[in-house]
Amino acid sequence: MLNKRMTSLFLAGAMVLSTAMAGCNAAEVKAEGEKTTITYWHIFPEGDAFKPVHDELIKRFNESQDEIYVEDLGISFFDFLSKMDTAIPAGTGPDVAFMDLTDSLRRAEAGVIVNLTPYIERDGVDMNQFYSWTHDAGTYNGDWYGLPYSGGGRFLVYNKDMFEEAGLDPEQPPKTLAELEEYADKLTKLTDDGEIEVLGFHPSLGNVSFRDYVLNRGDVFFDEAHTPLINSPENVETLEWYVNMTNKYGAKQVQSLKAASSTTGIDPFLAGFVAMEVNVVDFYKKLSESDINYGVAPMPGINEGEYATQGGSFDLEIFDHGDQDKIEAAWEFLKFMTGEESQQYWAVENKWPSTNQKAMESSEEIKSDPVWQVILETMEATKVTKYESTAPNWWNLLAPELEAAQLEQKTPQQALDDAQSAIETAIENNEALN
Amino acid sequence: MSSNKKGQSTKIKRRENLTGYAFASPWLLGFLVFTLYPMCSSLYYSFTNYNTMKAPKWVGLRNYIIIFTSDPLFWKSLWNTIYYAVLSVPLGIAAGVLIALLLNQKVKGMRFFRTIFYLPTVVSSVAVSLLWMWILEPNFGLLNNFLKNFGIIGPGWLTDPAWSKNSLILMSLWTVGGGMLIYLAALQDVPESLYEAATIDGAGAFTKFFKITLPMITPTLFYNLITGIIGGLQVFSQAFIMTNGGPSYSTYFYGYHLYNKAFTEYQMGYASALAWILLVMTLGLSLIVFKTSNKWVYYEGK
Repeated sequence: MLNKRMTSLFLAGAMVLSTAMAGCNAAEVKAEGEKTTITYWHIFPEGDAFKPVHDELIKRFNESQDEIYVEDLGISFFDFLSKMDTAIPAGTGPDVAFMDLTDSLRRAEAGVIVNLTPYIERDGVDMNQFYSWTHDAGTYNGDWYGLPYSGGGRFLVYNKDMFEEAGLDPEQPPKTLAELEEYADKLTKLTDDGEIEVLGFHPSLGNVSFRDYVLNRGDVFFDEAHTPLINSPENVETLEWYVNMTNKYGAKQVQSLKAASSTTGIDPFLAGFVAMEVNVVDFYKKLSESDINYGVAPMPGINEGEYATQGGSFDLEIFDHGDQDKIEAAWEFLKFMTGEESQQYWAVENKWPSTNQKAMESSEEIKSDPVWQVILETMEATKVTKYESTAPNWWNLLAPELEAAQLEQKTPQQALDDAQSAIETAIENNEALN
Repeated sequence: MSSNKKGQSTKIKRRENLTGYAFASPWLLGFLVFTLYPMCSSLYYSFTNYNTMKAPKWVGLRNYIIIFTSDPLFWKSLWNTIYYAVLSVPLGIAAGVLIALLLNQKVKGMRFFRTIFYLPTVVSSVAVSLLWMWILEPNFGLLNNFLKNFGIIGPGWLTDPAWSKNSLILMSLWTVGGGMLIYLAALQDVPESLYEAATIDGAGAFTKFFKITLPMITPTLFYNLITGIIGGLQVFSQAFIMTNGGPSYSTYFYGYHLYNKAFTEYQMGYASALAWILLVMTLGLSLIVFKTSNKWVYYEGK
């Protein structure tokens, strides 16, 4: 009895399985006129401010195609990477994903993304349409593993009304770090109890860190041979300035101001807490929607006109699932999304700078907008810190040391010495494991 | 005859066993697939270099050697975790017993208070953490505003490295409701006759507490101590949400180090080794507590 029942159960199961497998086979054999469907994951979920423009681009691509169909999925930025991290090893990831150009080497080394160089050469895609710094960020031994999508460096934003109140010319933003400090002194306003009402400038409020000031001075964290130079005399000097600027107007109060802005999630510049702040260039959209009378300027340098800003870029990468049809289809989609026309539409409509230099410089809207002009200037001065495959976590080891220096638990020299040795150890450990 | 009977009884036994296993099978399956298998594979990964994308590479004991010889963050995070556990576990037990004692009084509206005290345990730790960020905010937070009334300028609870760990310990008392409920049950099990006898003998409230109540609830204390130690060593989410392990590593707990290695640096092998070290330490501590238990845990009827 029992056996009979088991057999019938087994048979039923086998039948279900075989029909399912037959279904799979049917799907794999592409019928005449059927489209190749590729999946695309990105960081613009329902309700995201940048989504409508992004949707429109996908729609335009799908309408232009009779062979390819792109099925997209928007995932909140905060969940995106963890979702990708679990999907990639499981092989359930998308064909195309919106990733970070500066760490594409990690995925390239693991062999999960497609080397695009043969396709670029075959189709004669002009890589010079992308800003030169994206070449620094995204190529490894001359090979590309993703096409730059959008990104940029940082700029100085300042409150024109506060400038006027402090007797400063709102059309003359600071051009050097010395000027920046001088302006900050004038702009800082204290209440009668000595509490900070308006902070002139703080080196890490906004979207900026110690990294930016190091690159700004033309210094580095690693040399060409990937040797860490964390505690170079130049970097120690930069950290001394950074710590001084952090604590100049009262360390405790500024600390709590920082805590307040991270608790509430409100940008301190938009909240009217600070008069000048360094932020990423795609902050433009938020600025344009705020009621603050703002101005923008390139990041001040040590000497006038000598400056650089730390940048980054997203990119579109193709994940290799072993299906050449899909890779070809994905490649068509990549070319469309990063091309001049799409990128110009993206930049102008979303006020989010494009890494496609041609798209940025050929737009009439961008030409006639003074804010965009500052952004264009900034884009030329953008630099990147590359992915260090022997110490991918170097920043995590440095950041707490910077914090210790800012809290004055360690001198800048001591903090950077400690970071240097921690990173050297990490590199040794990495070598021991590989 | 007898052999036949015997055969029948084993048959019944076998069938009963099978039925038992069949009923337990959903749990067994879950245990095998979601607990035993991941545990075994993490033991294997702990001897490999595995970044989730490439196949794991066997490196022998090297992960363990690096952890013990050249990972300063391992020691730092271990120290933070021990500090947290050593303070928060006894404090949590003391607070739990205290509240349970209060709730054991025969006062009106006791059920209401019981619910109120238990409620925070039900709330997700993420929501609680966000709530506490507002309470502990140095400028306009509830706590510092309250202290201001007494002319005290409160510290940067979470932004000052000298305070941050203590703030998290303070916060952990928020969820003593879970332990409290168990103590309350234990308190209600203490026979009334013991108190009556003590009263006749002229014992005061303190003597009664230390000579009767406390010994009688030691089995419960023992249970909560063990689970408290295990939970304390795994502390993670508060630091992850509220302080990001900072300022300057002051709330960088063992679980945080493990998380960082696994999910921001993609060193799954290394993280697995960390997890196994934690398991061994937890086991060791639990064993010590078990060994000492016959010295202080009192079981009725023994």
